[in-house]
Amino acid sequence: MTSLKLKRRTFLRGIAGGATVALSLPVLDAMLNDSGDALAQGGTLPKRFGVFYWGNGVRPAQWNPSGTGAGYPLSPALMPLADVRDYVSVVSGMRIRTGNERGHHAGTVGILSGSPMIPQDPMGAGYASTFSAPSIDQVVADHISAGTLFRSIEYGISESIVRGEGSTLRTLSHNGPDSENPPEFSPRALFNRLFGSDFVNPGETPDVDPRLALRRSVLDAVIEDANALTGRLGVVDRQRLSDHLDGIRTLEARIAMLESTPMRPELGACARPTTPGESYARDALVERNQVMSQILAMALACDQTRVFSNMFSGSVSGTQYPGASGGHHGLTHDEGGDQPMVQAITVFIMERFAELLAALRDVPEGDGNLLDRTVILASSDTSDARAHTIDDYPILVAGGGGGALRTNVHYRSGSEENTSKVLLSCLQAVGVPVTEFGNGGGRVDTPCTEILT
Amino acid sequence: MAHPWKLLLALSMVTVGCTGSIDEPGYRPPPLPGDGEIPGDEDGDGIPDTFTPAPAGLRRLTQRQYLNAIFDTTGIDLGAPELEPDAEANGFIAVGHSRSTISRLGVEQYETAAYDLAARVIADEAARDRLVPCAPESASEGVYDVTGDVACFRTFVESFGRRIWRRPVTAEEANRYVDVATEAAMTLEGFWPGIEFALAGLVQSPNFLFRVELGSGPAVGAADDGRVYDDWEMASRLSFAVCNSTPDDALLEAAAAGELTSDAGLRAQVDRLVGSDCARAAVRGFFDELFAITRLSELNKDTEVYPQMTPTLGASMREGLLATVERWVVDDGADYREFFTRGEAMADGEVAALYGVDLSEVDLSEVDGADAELVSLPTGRQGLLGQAAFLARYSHAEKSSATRRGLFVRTGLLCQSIPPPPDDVGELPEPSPDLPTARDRLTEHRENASCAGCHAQMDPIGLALENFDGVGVWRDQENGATIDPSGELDGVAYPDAVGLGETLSEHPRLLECMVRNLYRYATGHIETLGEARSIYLLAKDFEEDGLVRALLSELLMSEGFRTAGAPQ
Repeated sequence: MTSLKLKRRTFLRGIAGGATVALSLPVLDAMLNDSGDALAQGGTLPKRFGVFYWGNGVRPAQWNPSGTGAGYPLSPALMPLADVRDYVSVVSGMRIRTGNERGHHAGTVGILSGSPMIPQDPMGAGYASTFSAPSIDQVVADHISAGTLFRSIEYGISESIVRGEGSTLRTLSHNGPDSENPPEFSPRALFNRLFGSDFVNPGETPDVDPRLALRRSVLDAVIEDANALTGRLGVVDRQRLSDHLDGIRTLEARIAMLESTPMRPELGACARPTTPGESYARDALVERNQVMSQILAMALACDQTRVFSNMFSGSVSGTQYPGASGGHHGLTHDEGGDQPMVQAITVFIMERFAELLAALRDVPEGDGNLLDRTVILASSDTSDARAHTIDDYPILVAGGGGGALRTNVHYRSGSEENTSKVLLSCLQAVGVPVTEFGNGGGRVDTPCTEILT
Repeated sequence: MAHPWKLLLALSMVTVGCTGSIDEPGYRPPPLPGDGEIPGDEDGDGIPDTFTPAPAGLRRLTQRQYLNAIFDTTGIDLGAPELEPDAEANGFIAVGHSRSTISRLGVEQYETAAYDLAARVIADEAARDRLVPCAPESASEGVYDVTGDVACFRTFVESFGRRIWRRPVTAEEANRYVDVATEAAMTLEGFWPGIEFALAGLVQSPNFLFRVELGSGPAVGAADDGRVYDDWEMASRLSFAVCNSTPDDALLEAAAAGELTSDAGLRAQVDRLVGSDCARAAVRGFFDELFAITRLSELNKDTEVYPQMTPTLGASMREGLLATVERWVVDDGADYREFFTRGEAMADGEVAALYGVDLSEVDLSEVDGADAELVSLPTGRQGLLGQAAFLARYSHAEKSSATRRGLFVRTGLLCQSIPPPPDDVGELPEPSPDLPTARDRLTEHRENASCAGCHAQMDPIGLALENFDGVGVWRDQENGATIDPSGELDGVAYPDAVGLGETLSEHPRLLECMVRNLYRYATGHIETLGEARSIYLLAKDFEEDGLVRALLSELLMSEGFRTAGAPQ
């Protein structure tokens, strides 16, 4: 068989059993210093970043706290956050500065990327839009995800998604125009990815499966196919294929890491979470949010990922909430008066957000907990959905950011500042070395300093 | 220097606002033949003189196309694995799939599905025999030696690759997967692991997951820089447009023989495919997307308002509509204009009950689960606008919506655009003794100038359908008041839903819009102005008989389907 012409890498792998691959490892307790908050070699515990997003905005009069500053009074809509309020700051009075060309669409793209939407309605054929720039979670992932098995994870709670109006309404996380990171709605599917057969329990020594190297060889061949194809393509298709290639390389790197991790020492509170149920009913929003929160907490504790997004409900979503007489979006336009059902839905969503925050807070890490080192941006696709407003935008920033965030404050802008300032603050808090962010009217070069320490 | 998106924003602003006429100043479809001046029509025959093809490009397989191609190639049904979600845009999945790509998660999902498929193939002797046209030469006992198996790996990669990539595999490409097979066979010491990994690779390649249709060479008789889709690309285009799946052996043989770039050869394959049962898949797939009912199984209705609502009702409604159009197009060969006036429909027991059909007249012995039977509809309900799937889809969870129904007729059936509502929309009044019916409550839409421009185009259509509630059940009254279903469509008055159907069936844009929609579905892009010649020629033919199947054939033969612009 030695007469066969095989690629050099094949023999390298055969000889070294895959151990030749040099990739950074997850942060392990063995690498920490004695005080538990810094790496033995001088680094610090990783920071994490997340987005919590829901569709159809809020009732501003019941959302905004009546007082500002530290220890602000919780508003009716924010009462569910009482248990975690030490971790939550409110920013109000700001405006999306990228324009409001299309209700819901413009707000979604503006608050998630600091950039304008791209309309997609050639020849008036129905309406669609997409992002013009990556969403903030992917900007963060570029900077803090190296060395983790999963660059970012995306999940959703309500499956009632508007799918026909382009990528903006159906997917939170974007790499760029028409390049989506679709959310997982199945807790079991998310669990299997993060904690399935590839997962190595802390303290265990894994057997390196020889199939892992073969899977990489297959992906190498697929990459060669793509490289051969790319020269024949136009500019847009080249980008599409490049995005696809990025996914293949990401998977290949993950497989290489699985091969090169001979032993996994104890890692704080990291443990494989309970296996979730096979499926969850469409209306089981509470249960799904709870089990997703538990999976997420362990994914962060085990440093499987450092970046996440939870599309709790999609933009313009017609989610049927408990006790409501119709779908959420329809109610925001049709319910009269002060819209008590819409308000009750906002309270319900904040209850779920509080549960997510509590799940992170309850996992100890170093001398604190997961939430202490996390930055979470929480917002929606509009302010008052009844009129598709984008002023006085509803924004929460949660988590300690490893000491970078001022928590439990309410900052109310008196001058309709640019919402992108909050995004820049989040980026800086999580350690992304940028001094400006956004595009077009969404561009800013100063953060919202009131929520930074 | 403005960013490109700024230009796009500026251009799109033109579409905002309905000021009296639906065609002004927003998007105006090119005029119909004989309907005013046609751009580029020098010879005055009402049709633009030249055709400019749209840029060619990559088209991502839909979930259904991926699964169909796997099944038709291997005989293995993967069920419903987690796959990159379909990404519809501008009304059609095909259009979205000319823009979208495969995400990082999608890559993982396709990898998982690939190894699931490969494992099933090598565990299934019949599948192995079908797909591996040679036998391993390696000894069954002693130390495994891959040497004798390499030739068979190559044979497999070339034959399976040709099927799954829909074109011959080049020597260089074959080498890649022969290497994969050889490495796997050596590592895992056996012939079949070699097949397993090569197969898993071939179905993860962009040459499978994307339809690479880029065109080549100058088009015959087209613009100087024109290109035509080559024989292999045409095989894919035909097969996915009609069968929603990968080309069969006969189509690949026709491609290999160079027949699909000639009129006669193409006509023979078009006739064969459109005459086959594949046409049923095409009709179903098209109307599924046109009516946006692909996810109707997830229908959400308030069960307190609609006690008829069950977990299976949405799926039954969808099947009713699809079975109805399948019957009309394929079995009856009906004129598309009749689709709005026919007094019959396919329905299962659940949907027939919604229609108030006397079930004793239906042979329920034949009605089993999702199977639908032909039923005569009660007076007042007819055509596609009487279908529960349409009526329920374009309603709210707890009430009907004249606006949603009217919007769909305008945009989906007449290809007219309605701008989004302004930002300062207020809520509509609740039902009250003074405002019992939708017509009463929609007064604001007519009297408020900022609403009226657009709503005058939608509401009168939907109000004619108010006799059908939010799940499509007939009602004479709403909140105790008799419903007035009269209205008018572009100057033609009608007394009720039946009259609306008749008026719609004679609307000058109806057939042209059907051409546009089918063109979008089959080509995967919104037609450009340069393609108007193809649209007009097809519409002219379609006016003759209204036969959807003939339209599909002519569309597949058209310049628009066969010529490609340079990739951009």
